[in-house]
Amino acid sequence: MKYSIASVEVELTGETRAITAAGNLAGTAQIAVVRTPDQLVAEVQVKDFGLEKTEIKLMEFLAPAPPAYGHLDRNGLMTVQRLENGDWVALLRALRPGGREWPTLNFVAMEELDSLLGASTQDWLIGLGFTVGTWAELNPAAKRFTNSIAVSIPVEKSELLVLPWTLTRVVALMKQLGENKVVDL
Amino acid sequence: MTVYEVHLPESDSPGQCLAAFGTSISAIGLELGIRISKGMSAEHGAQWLDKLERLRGIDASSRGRKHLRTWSAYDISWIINEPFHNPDSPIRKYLPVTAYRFFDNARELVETRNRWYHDFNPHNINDLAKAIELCVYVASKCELTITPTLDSVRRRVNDIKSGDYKGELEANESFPTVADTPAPTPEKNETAKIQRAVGAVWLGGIPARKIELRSSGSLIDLSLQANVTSELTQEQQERYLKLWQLIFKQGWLWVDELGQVAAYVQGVLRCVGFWGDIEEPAQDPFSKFLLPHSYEISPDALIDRASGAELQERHLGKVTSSTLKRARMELSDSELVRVTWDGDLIYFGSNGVEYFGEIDSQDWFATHFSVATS
Repeated sequence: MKYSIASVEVELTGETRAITAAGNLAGTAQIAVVRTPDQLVAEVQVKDFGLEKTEIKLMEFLAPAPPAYGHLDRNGLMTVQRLENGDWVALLRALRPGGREWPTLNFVAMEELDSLLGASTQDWLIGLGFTVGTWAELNPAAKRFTNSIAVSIPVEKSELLVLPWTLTRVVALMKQLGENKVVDL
Repeated sequence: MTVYEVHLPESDSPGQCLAAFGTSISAIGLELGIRISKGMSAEHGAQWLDKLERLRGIDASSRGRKHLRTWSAYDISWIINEPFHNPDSPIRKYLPVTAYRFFDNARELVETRNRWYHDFNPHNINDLAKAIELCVYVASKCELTITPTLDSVRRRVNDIKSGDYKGELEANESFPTVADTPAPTPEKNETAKIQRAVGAVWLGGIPARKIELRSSGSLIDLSLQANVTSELTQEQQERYLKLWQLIFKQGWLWVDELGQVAAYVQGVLRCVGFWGDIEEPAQDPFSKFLLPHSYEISPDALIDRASGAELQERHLGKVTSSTLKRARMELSDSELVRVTWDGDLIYFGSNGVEYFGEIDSQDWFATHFSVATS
């Protein structure tokens, strides 16, 4: 299944791979491939180690990485928590300049997401089957970032979390979220 | 209502984008023109446009200015600019002139129309999305019956952008496009094409030579394993290298046989500069990168539209002041003008594009230029 997010292509391959640690089965990974018009090709995994640890991460660059994405195999991790009803819930923070040499995960406003997507992010996410709210609204266990945007989704559709991951990581880097505008584009 | 059909785009191709925007803006002009013509004819007789335009001509010449008369009440640029420039305009009562930012957005729509017809750069799905937003805004403020149709164009554009709409063209692969037509003699080394300007969307394929711009500002040829920064002339380093660092800090560049440099800017391949000891080609000022600001120029002021700040014109250099003088001579009362990243003052007008001359960055609003003009 292929999706396009602001001209970035996300292919949910349908492949699930076993993750082994020291020869033992530790969890499973659902595989997605992300391709941008500016030549990023990368494998992103939804890694499920059970209730305690679930995360989404760029695991492999499938072609030499364009410099703007060079750090993306080391940052941009999305951690997922589980709700009592089994739904997966995650905080939406986006890569942007934040005091380090490379962009880091920071607060992002809904209007900024809209301008990255080029359409209403709320409508898009709801159309995909996500529930959208603040972190505090969606996750009773929320302590920090309570007013940040968050999404939840039933476990059957959980691999779709790769889509908001792509918007807040890959598209944010491609469109230079939070950078000063030098020329009109 | 009008029998004019607005085009729902089928894909993100330039032709589909142009068709959607062209028919949308024509539909707005048609419906407003009909509304205005009906009302004005009822009140002032069939010759109302002639009378009004003659009046404007006399008024302009009494102030020593030119007036280029319109012959059509259906031209969106006349519909918006006539009431904008004339507080007493009888056209005002047909428009929501008091709506919040109505003229700002409507004039931006006119400028967008002019850019679309004078430059190929906007013919893509992202620019179409912005343009259609303006169309929907103007149509809904004017309470046009075409509004729901334009809204469905907007939804379609968003669906194409997000990949939700695949279209009938994709299923029907026999639909030919220029890109599908095989070149007459396919050669291994495609001859480099002449690019329009620094900022223009790149024409042709990605050039062979690949260079990496490091965050240090060094330019590395990865296949030569060499720092090739000094291949740029001193002037190119001060202009293009600086521009590249500001736009992408680090990234890849490709250089073709003519010394033209390509790079992805926010996902779109563009010409971003020139490389090495070559004679740089004359550039099309209307395809260059523009400063993010737009300005309103009138006989007594030049205003940054975003901040409302007025340019201090007391101590301008010769170049800038003669450029502004020329712009004021050529333009009617108050028009939207743009400045390119390297200091050309230009105007996307309804009768064509205009180039007025150069702006010296030292004379300009302090923060607007990122690279000093030479």
